[in-house]
This record gives sequence, C-alpha cells and structure tokens, in this order.
Amino acid sequence: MTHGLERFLQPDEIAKISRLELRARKVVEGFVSGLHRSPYFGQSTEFVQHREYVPGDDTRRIDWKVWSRTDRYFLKQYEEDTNVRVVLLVDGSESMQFGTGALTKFDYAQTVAAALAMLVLKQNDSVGVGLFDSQIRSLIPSSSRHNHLSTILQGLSAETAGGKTDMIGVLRRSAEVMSHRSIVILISDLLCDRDQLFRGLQLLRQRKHEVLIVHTMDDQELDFDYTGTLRFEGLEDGGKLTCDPAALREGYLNSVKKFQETIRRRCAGSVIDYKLVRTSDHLDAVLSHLLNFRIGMTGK
Amino acid sequence: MSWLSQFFLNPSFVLPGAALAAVPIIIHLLSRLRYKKVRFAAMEFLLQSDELNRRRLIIEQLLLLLLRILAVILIMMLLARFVLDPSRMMMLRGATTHHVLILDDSLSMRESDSDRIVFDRAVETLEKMLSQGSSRPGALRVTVLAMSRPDRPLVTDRALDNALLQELTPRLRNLTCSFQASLPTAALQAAENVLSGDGGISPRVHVITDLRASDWQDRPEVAAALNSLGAIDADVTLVQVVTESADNVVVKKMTADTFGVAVDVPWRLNLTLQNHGRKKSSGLRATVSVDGSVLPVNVLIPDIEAGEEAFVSHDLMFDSPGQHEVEIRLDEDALREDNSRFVVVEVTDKRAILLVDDEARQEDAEYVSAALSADPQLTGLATELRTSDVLTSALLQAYDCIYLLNVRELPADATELLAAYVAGGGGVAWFPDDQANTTWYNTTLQADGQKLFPVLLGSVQSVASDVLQDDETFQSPVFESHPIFAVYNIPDSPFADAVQVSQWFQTAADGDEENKQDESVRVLARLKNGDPLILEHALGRGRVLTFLTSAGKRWSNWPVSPAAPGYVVMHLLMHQYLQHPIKSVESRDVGGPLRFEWAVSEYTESIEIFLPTDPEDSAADSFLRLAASPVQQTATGDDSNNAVAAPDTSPAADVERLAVSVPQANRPGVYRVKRFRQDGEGEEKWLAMSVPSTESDLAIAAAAAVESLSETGHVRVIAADVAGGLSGSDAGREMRWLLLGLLVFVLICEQQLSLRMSFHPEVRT
Repeated sequence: MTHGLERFLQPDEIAKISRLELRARKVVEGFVSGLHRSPYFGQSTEFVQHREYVPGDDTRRIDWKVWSRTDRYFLKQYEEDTNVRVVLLVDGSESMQFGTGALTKFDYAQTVAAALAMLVLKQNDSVGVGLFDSQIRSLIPSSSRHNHLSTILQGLSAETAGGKTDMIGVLRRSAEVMSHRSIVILISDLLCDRDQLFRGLQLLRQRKHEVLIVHTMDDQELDFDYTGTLRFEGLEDGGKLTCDPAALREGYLNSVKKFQETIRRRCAGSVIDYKLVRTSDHLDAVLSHLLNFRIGMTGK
Repeated sequence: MSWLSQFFLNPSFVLPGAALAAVPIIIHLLSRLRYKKVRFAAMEFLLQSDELNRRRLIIEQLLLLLLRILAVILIMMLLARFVLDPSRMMMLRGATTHHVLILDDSLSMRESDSDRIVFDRAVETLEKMLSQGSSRPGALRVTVLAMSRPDRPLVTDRALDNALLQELTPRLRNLTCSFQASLPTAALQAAENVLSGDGGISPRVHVITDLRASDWQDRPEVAAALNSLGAIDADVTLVQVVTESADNVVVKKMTADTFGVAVDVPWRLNLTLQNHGRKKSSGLRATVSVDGSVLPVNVLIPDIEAGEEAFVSHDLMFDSPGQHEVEIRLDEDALREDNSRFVVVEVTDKRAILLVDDEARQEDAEYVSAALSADPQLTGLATELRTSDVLTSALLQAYDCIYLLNVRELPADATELLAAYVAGGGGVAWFPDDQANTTWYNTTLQADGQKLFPVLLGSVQSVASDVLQDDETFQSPVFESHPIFAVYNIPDSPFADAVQVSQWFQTAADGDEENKQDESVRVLARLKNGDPLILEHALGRGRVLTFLTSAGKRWSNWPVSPAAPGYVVMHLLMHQYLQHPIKSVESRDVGGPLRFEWAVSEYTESIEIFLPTDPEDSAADSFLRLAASPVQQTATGDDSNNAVAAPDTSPAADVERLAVSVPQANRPGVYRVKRFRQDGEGEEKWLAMSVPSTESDLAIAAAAAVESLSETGHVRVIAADVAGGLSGSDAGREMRWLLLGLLVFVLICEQQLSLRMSFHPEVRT
C-alpha cells in the first residue's frame, strides 16, 4: 500500500490535482518523505575543512571558536559552497500532446519540471525554465529567490502543447542566452531530427553546460498495444495510415528500439546524461535521477 | 439446376452456401472501411514498419481471406452432402474413368429363374449400370464385351453418354446367351489389354456373372488374370446375378463303340449322367429321339447320389440306311440345355470288311469270315475274301477295316496305298504265316512314314504236339486289358485258358531290345514263355493290330472248339476297334468357331449348311450358303476345327486349301454340311453339336473365396441389386470424411495465420 504522501508520486493520483503548484508540491513532499537521507545539500551542512582568512572573505564565515583558542582567523569550508544553476527546457510541441494514460506527455513534463524547480529552489539553487516548440515560447530566467517558484509555475501552467519542433534553433538560442555554466535538463519526447538535436546539444556541451535529457514517452508509443483496424493521424503533420496495428507491431517496436539505441549511444558519446521515462512511471524516478546526477557532479 | 443433383444429395443448400462464401470478403472490406481514428505522435516508426511489411501483409491477408472462404465452402459442401467418387476426382483433374464391362454369357447363365433365364437379369443389370453412368457425360469411357467373345467387344473405349446408351440398348436386348463354356480368363485378359494402353485414366472392370464355383474357384489362371488387372491398378467388381446354387442333373457324355452301323443291327448307346445337385436324384427318365421323332420307349435313369455319376446303356436299331440323328433328353431341371445331347450315326445295309488271304485255300480267311459274318443279319457285317491284288484295284476307304492273312509280301504301290489308308484312320490286322518274306516285312514295312509292321520278324517257333498237350506253359497267351479282349479280361474267364498256340513268330534279335525301346508299340498278349503274341501300334490316325500267329487252326486252336467262342467275340470287337472313322458323321461340343478346311482338289469352294432350328426361327435362318476362301497352308492337326479334312490324304505343304468359318454354328443340334466334289456330286456330312458338360455344375462360389484370389484386395463381389447405387453412396461416405478432415485442416491453418497476424497483449499483473 502506498503510504501517505508517496501516493502522489503515481501519475494516476497526481493527475487528479489540477493545479500545477499543488502537483509539484505533493510530488516533492512525497519524494522527500521517502528518502532516508536529506536531499538538501550546500551551505552550513556539509563541513569539510578550515582555511586561513584572507582579506575579502566573508567575515560571517570566521570560526570564532578557533580564534579564541589560536588567536588566528580561520574560515569554515563546506562541501558545496557555490550555487547551482539549473535550466529546465520543456518540449511544448504538438507531439507532446499525445497521451493514453492519466497524463499526456506534456502534463507529465510540466509536472516533472515543476517538481524539479521546487526541489532546486529548496536547495537555494537557481532555476530557470524555457518552454519551446519551434522556438522558445516562454523563458523564465534563472533565479534562486523563494518567490521565483510561483513565477515558474505560472509560466508552465499557462502554456499548452502545440506547434512543430525545431530543436536546433531552440538549443542554439538557449546556449546563447545562458551565460553561466548550468545544468540543462531537457524534457522532451525527442521526436525531431536526431542530427539537429545532437548538434544543438553539442553547442550546450561546448559551453560547459551539463546536459540531462528526460526522454518522455507514452506507454503506447513504447508498447504499441493497439488492436483492430485504426487510422493513425500523425501529430506535427506526421502523415496518415490506416492499418491493422497488430500486424505492424513488430516492425514498429523494432524501429522504436533502434531509435532509443541511437539516442542512448549518441548521448553517451557526447557525455550527456539520458533518462527514459514513461508517462506511467512514478514521478520520483526523475527526481531521484536528478539527485544522483547532482551528487555525481559534486564528487568530481 | 438439375445438374447440381449429380454432385449434392441436398442441392438446395448449394446456392445459399455459395452466397455465404462472399461473407468473409464483405467482412474484410467492411473492416477496411470502418476504423477508429487515433492521433499519434510516433508516426515515423509506424510508417517505417508499414513500408517494410506491406507486401507480406497483403499476401497474408489474402491467404487468410481465402482460407475463410474455403472454410465456408467446405461447410456448405458438408451440409449439401457433396458426393464424388474417386473417378469424379479424376474427372476434376482432367482425366476420366475407363470401365470395362464383361457380360458373362456362358452356358450356365441360361439357368432358369422363374419365367426367364439368369442372363436376362444380367443384361438388365448391365443396362442399369450404363444408364446411371450416362448421366455423367464426359466422365466415363466404356468397353462392353461378352465373355464368350472377348475378341469382339460390343463397344470399345467409347465415351458413355445418352447417344451411346441409345445405340447400345437395342444391341444388348438382342444379345443371346451362348451355349458354350467360357472361363473368365480370356475376357479378363482382353480387359487388361484394353486398359493397359490407357495412360492417365482410372481403370475399372465389372464382370456381371453368375459366379459359378467351377469358373471362379480353384482356378490359378483366373487368379493370375485378376492379379494382372491389379498390377495396372484396375479395380475389379464381380456383380453377382445369382445367389442360390441350383440342383442340376446333366447328360455328361453319350458315346457308342461305333458310329457306323448296319440296318437292323442293334447299336448300343452308352450314357454317363452326373448329379450336380445337393440331394439324390430319383425317378428321372430320358426320352430318345431319332431324326426328331421321339421313340415310345424311355430310358430309365437309376437314382444318382449328390455329386455322383451313373452309367446307362441303351440299344437302338435303325431300319433305313443313311445318316441318322439321335437325341437323348432328360426331364427338365434348372439348366435345360444340358439335359440333351446329340449324336449322328451313319447307317448302311452292311459294314464291309476286306479279308486278304494269299494262302491258296484261304482257310484262315474262312475262319475269320465265319466269325465276323456267320449270320450277316445279326452282325451287319459283310466280309470280302480276296488276295492281295485287291489292294491296288479297290477303294480301300470303302472298308471298315482290312485283315491281311498269310501275306508273303506286297507290291510297293499296294504298300503305299495301305499306309495311306491306315494314316487316314483305317485299321489293319496282320496274321503272317511261315510263307512270309521276313526280309520284306523287316525292311519295307519298317520304312519311315509307313511303318505298317510293329516289330522285326524272326524265326517261326513251334511246340511239339505232345508237349503242347502236357506242358501248359506253352498253351495259353496272357492277355492285357484291352477292348478287343473283353471276353478274356473278365475275371476267372475260362476262354483265355482254352486258347492253345503251337506255332508263332519270334521277333528278331531275341529279347527284342530295339522294340522294347519303341514306345509306340504295345504288347497286348504274350505267350507264357514271354514271347509277344499280339501287338498294337498306331500309324497316322489309324491302328494296326499284329498277331504273330495265324488266324486259322494251323498254328493254334483258336478258331475251333473250345476256344472258338472267344475267337468270334474278339474278331467282332476287333472290327469295332479297327473301324475306319465314319467320314460322314461327327459329334462334338459347342465352343469356338466352327471351321471347315479342305484341299482344293477335294471339293469346290461352295458349301451349304442346314442349321438346327428353333420353332421361332424362320426357314431362312436354317440354311446357309457360304464360299470358302484360300488359306495359307498350316500345319495339320487342327482336326477339332477341321470337320471334313480328308482322312485318306496327308496334305503336302504345297497343297492349296480352302477354309470357311461358320459363326452361326453356335447352338446345340445337328448341322448338315454339304460340299461338292469337282465333278459336281454333292457329299453330305452330319455334325452333331452338344453343349459342354463343364458348365453344368451350378454351385455358386463363395464371395470371400473369390475376393481372396486377389493379392492386393482390388477384387470385390457385390450383389446385382446394389450394383447400380453402390458407387455413389460409397464415394459419398468417403467424401464426407475427406471434407471434414479438410475443414479441420483449413480451420487450423486459419487460426494459425490469424494468430500470427494479430497481437494479444499479455495481461499485466
């Protein structure tokens, strides 16, 4: 039985909550309550060593106890002593509108983005959100202020999926906008030109950004469990086909598998973290992945 | 739509069923038109899959559609009760079935069955089979032949249709049952010859027969013929038109010691009768007809146990010279044709015997003459005492037989004439005495082609009279069993011991090693010292009896008391034994074509035949005038067909011959055949033909025994009642199971294919 807040990690449950803010909050709280170790990291919590004071250092960080014993000024040094910038790029193209479960891919991406933003802000890191299709439709600059969350949530919930995807344009634009080294989290179904996608990602990497891809796919896109004669009409002008899907299933799954392999291989080649999520997966999967990814970064 | 009834027992199901075959097509088309719309994001993968699998999918869908249509059609065929025998299947593949129908028309098919004969029922059955077959035009080819004439089929390899049926029906109804015995072997072989030349057809043989045990059981040749048909994959069906064996008594044989008799001399007819029934026959009588007039005295037949034979003799006398026809007819039973037999007899005022005696007093000839014709009114024999000069001056064929007594030697031409006489069937009796020129006997008479004397003569041996009286070892000959010694062959006969021989010729080279090797010479009597006394050998068609002692009383006491009674009887029997075949009469069994052949120099080509008639026949049916045609010289010996081959001529290889066949001579009775000599004078021969007794056993063969004759089980016996419908019902049953099996197979294939083409998601737990 799912305990308390953890039930909100299930897409079926979270779909019942209409407000994105509440969704995000429930997700984060459910995620946090399930952890045995504090997910928070950074200032005043993780002491590492002392160093001698030099002019210009923040006097608030002088360890007075050491001064009283040694009469010299030492500063406390902590594990994380710099803020992390996280930029969430959410795919808002028409293909993200597809969904056969409780949440469409876009709903799922919105929720994940909101939860991530909330989690990052709780760390006192800064987070920015960009929502795009063929261009960046809305861009919320990075900030670590506590009231920044409401800006992000309003921005996300105000948008719907629509339009075609132009991944190279969006990523190039993002790279130009981001002046600081950041963690870029791309939440998308990646149904776009693969070469353009990786050219764009390469631009980000060249500018020293860490990139994490949350590849969002619907169950039917991965399993293709359709039966009976159906007429498929493609989103983003993907064409039309009337067929018996059962007869084409094997070929379809082979193509999807090949597609995933290509993405995974090229991500590995570009040192890009890749995470495939189904819209039916528990939402903490993404959050856990981000947490691990963040720890991995500090350990470098 | 009546043609549908040829294929379906319930034809009303066919058209609705055919309409249902369209249902899978309609469903298929509707499913293509009625679909749900789905807005889908990952279309590029779906389109890739479609491009890769399109051709395979089209083929699989068409195959699935066909299987579903086929399943509907099979269900329809099952409901409509599709009937199709193997021959039909052959037809569907573009081939046909060739049926050879053999109609048994042997004599036994004349068995009476209520008011008609079995043969009529067989013809009806044949007509019914043909009639049913003609309703399937183009599917069948038929050959119809009668068992007695397998070389002349009624129709050969014709397509069976209404036109053929209309042509054949009147011919079948005019067909009559033969009077001859016919084994099925020849007809089965003819069927094999007809069928073995046909490639790509399904061969079948039907024999409409009475299935007599005598024809079908324990007949290796019949089994071989059936198995030969099996070797060419021909199914053989024996359609049995008789199921019950009938009792039957037959006049199996009618013989006489001679067919040349004198007027008012008793002539003995010997009858052999056999009871083929399962119970004893009793109270039977036989009537005797002479020249068509029934004699007032019946022949009483003794009781005959089942399966046993009885022998009856009956004496007749003829009061006028010429040929006479004699018929014996038993009381009627199941097979009336074998109740009567015919013989013809040549009756003359006297039967002439030539006695040639070169001894001056002709005493020996007197004794023989006295024995043969002491009272010519009683024996009917007329002897003619002459010297050997007569052999070149008289027509020897006029004599029944010739006695040659005390002949020293004969001139060369006389020897040749004598040899020709014997070769043509004449009989000669030698009685040489001490005047005989042994050199002539041992050389001229031993020449190849005219060996008129059986052994080489040696010296004359004699026994002194005192010894003769005392030593019994030299007194009496020892007689072998032989027709002329009937009186001596009687057990404990006193006549043999009464004969005393005092002088005789020994054969040359004592011990006679050479003659012992000559198997054609038979010693009929020996003296008690082992010396041969009486010998017999054959030359051509004639017989020669040789006595190595004289016929008179000089060398033995044979013609005088007490041996005289045996002497008289022996000479009377010798006359019958040596009697020249009567040229103007002949008796034989019906069977095979009657054929006459003769030398051109003997008769002209014209021949007239008076046939035996039925009351129903017209006068025109009773007379034939035919012209013989030249034939290639063939080896002689076809006497069975050569009724009038000149007995006194041995045709040389270069002699032109004429021959004529008489196919109309196919019934029992007396045929009068008249031919004309070159000088225009007509010569008549009477030919008596009786039915063969081999068809008289009316026992029915066991069906299982006949079916077991075949090694491959291709022979089956069915009753005539079910012959018509058997093919259809039997094939229908087979098709039902075949259709069911096919339907199951089609459904399994359909399920497999549809399972392969559909997706069944696993139930997630």
